[in-house]
Amino acid sequence: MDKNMDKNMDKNMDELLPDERSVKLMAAPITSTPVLKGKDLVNLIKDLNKPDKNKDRRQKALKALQIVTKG
Amino acid sequence: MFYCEDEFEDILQAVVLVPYSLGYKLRDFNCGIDDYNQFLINDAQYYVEQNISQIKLLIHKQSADVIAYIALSSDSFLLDKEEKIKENIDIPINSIPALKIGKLAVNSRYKDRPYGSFMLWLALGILEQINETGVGCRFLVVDADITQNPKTPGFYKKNGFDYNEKENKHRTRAISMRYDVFQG
Repeated sequence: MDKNMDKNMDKNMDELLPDERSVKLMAAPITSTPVLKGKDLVNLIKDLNKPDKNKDRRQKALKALQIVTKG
Repeated sequence: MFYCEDEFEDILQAVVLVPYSLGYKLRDFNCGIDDYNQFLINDAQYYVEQNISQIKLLIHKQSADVIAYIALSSDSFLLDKEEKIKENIDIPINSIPALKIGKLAVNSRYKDRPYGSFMLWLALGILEQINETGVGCRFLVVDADITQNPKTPGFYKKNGFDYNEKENKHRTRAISMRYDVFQG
């Protein structure tokens, strides 16, 4: 991979100098989800153990998806 | 509850959701952020071909304009073994499945209605479809990009998302957030 391209992979197009834009082939990559630590991890596990109170809303969203989907 | 959810039924009548294809008016799409416009033109095809993301386009039925797009991928919260011991977390799970919103953008000409929130609603529908297909998935996750707009996390917050990192904040370019599909 071109050195400049590698260097610019994490930058958005707007952040590049005009001459750098020509070597940037891709938009900013999708950011990875962090590995949670400490209290953040504890909060995630707390959420995980909560009961399902949202089934109706998910079903409504699924029906909407089926109505609107083509192809 | 999603933001302006009462408008979603009206929006439903005026739009279709289609898989990414070069046949749509992609070059007319302008969300006001060059990087997201370029993604649609230059990168999206590669992501789809490599099964990195599936990209859906929201198309206006009458004008055929691309109103919005969303890039979705499978993801998971990895539970670090040492961290589990340290926090005294005793569950036999090493990762929690999620559906990742990798990119979401709305055409600037269509800011008059809550199309971004509508796309999140459809993402919830896709997650439910995944579960009904037989693959477990619990959270919607996103890394809200703050490089272009510091208000992006606020958009997700008003749509029911919560911050993943309240204590350990070391990111400067994106804020990781989740939507618990059991809580809404």
